[in-house]
Amino acid sequence: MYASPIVIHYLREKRWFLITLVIQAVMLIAPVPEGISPEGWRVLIMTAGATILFVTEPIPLPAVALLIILGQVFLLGLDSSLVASSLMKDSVLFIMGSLMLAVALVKQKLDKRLALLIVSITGSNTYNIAFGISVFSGLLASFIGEHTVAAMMLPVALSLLQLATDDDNKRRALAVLLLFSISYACAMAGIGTPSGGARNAIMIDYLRDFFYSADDPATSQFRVSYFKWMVYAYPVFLIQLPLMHLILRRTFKTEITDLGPAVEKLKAQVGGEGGLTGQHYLAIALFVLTLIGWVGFSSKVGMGTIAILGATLFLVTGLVRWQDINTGVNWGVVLLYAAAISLGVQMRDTGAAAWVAGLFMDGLAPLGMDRGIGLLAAIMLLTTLLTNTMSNGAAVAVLGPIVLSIAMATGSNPLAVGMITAMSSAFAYFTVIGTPASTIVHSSGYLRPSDFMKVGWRMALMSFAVMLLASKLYWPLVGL
Amino acid sequence: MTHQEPMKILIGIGGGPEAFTGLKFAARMSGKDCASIELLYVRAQDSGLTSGGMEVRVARENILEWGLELPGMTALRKASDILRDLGEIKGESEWRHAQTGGDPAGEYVQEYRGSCGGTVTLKLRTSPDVTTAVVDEAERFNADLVIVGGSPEPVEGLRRYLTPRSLALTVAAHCKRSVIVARHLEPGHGHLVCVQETERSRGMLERAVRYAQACDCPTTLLSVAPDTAGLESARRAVDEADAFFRNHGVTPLELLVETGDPAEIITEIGYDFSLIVMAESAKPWFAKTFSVAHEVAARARNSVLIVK
Repeated sequence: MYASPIVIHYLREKRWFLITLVIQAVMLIAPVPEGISPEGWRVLIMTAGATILFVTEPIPLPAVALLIILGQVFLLGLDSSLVASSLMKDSVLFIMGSLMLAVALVKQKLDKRLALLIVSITGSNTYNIAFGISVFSGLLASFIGEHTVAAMMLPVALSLLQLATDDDNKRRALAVLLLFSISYACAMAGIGTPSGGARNAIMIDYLRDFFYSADDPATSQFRVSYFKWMVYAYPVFLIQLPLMHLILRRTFKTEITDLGPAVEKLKAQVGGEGGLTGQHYLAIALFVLTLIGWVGFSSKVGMGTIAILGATLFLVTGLVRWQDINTGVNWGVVLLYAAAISLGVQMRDTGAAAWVAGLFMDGLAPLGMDRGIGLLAAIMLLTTLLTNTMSNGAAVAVLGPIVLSIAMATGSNPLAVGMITAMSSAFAYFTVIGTPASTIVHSSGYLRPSDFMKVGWRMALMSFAVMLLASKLYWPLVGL
Repeated sequence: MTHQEPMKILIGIGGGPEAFTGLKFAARMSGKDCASIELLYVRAQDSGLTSGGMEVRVARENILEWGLELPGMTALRKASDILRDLGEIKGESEWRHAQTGGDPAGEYVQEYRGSCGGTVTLKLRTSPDVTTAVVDEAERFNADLVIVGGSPEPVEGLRRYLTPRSLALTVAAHCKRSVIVARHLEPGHGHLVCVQETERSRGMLERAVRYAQACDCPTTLLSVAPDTAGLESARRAVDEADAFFRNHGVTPLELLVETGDPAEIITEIGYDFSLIVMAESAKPWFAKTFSVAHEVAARARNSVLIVK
């Protein structure tokens, strides 16, 4: 009598896990397709299962990571020490370090000063404030991760909203403009530098693992430095930023065109806290030091090492408590990225990635999109579709080995293909879960999923156009 | 009827504006029955990959440090203001942290004394699954009645099969407590109690009487026979229900017996009432969509109470 509702709830909550198991069982029983090794097929079965579980999340994400590790030992017969060592890479260290830095920075309460700085520059015009928020969010998020900036800027926007009006409809119209100004700026900016997001670090690791050989100087281009990445990607972000603002102000018009009274109240509220303290100066200094470390030394010691160093400095100087970091970071996600990257390496080693790449190419050839700009457009489209259903880092972790295999098979430049994949994983404009910044601003309760769809297609079209133009016109100029 | 404990009503806020219409109804029931009311807002727990590995609680804590309210709190405060205007809330209260499960930074409670001795509780919860949280809270609160806001207009035609079931209908299917799928829930237009000659229907009558007494709402009884062969059974069901209501001090306004498609007729006749009251189907949860009660809940333009 009592077991029945429990079983029903379990089945309802875990239905996607059970469906995944069934799909995997069917694939395992089915004959191995031609052109792929049995090991490669088993890796594909694991990848298919992991992808479904990434998207639907019926079980805790760390459990997906553990299943990937177990699958490599039991299904692929790999030595457990080998699997364990494949989990820790510089990109994983970077993800861990940057998440710790994110929590540390949010805890410094620099956001209030940032709010004052923005409104003192932009004045009280609503659209100027929205653009100012985008510029500051974007510039910061290009270096320190979009979740950090979104968490810092969200109260700035919410404060302005609450101070601006009591009318629910007017407030929501204003909220949509301001909140998207944060989230889309953060999402776009994340492509600007390698430290802008986990996806960039993951792609840099893949490029190095797939193509770099210490014995072959010709492959040194695949060890992408921090500065080189910025040269390729930062202008693309900068061009998109004002275009994004134009799209937002055209899509979400607001009746409140002047936030003068709200800005004055905000200044009074925040200004009462006084000037920057020694703690603030120290936090800013540590942040700047970390940035200098990334730009100047990450090629030698790795981006992950610098991120860990930055987080350690925040801890030893007492600017952040370990308890705050421990509860603010979802460590399961770090484990998940580690497992996904490790699976990506298996995709390459067993030939599974090349086989899937072949299928993809067979589909594209009749459309004439199997090379050149057509291929880049197809990869961009595929990445955009995937990144809107799961986090952008996971999308790059899953797609990376496949697109790089496509590059090899077609004789395309793997660096361009890799960059396109990492950068278009930022085009997650259609869904709440597409990017961390969208999830965070959506948690404010003001945005509806339909708002993302309403503006998302315009943003995607603009980003597609800018990306294709950049790859055709700009990248050749800088040697890509 | 034996002496009963005051009623406990759980109202899910956050499922849309229709949930707010349930407040007036709950207040009316409370006035007569001295009910305890809990207003619940459930936020889907947004952490993990979607937040990039940094917990959304970091953003929430930052919002609280700015002295701003979390979004669920704003919706709950709006609901409590409505109850205060209706005279259901006395005094002031502060938010206090209360971890029920899920994200600790997202869970808060505020308690007030009700005007006649009951309590009014505002509760903000986070959960990976909103339906599960509402069902769980109904059990914790030992709710006699759960009110959830339905979509203002029913989803019709092909869209019925393409759009996911609304949260209200999912809660109605899974909850073991009686559920009102609220739409334009204005008390005062009476209850339409739908009966059959079955044990489930008989079992519902006691609660249907209690709900009618609590809100002091006029009641009409209806039984629908699928064909003329079932007319006699439908008449007996209505007569039996009529006797039951009268024995418990409630005189039904009208007794109706109709022939035809039950869901269609109940939806059509029920349009003029505040609430259509029906017994829960005996079907398992995954087949409830095909039961008359849940079909009416999905198709009706007004509120439907499924008595469990």
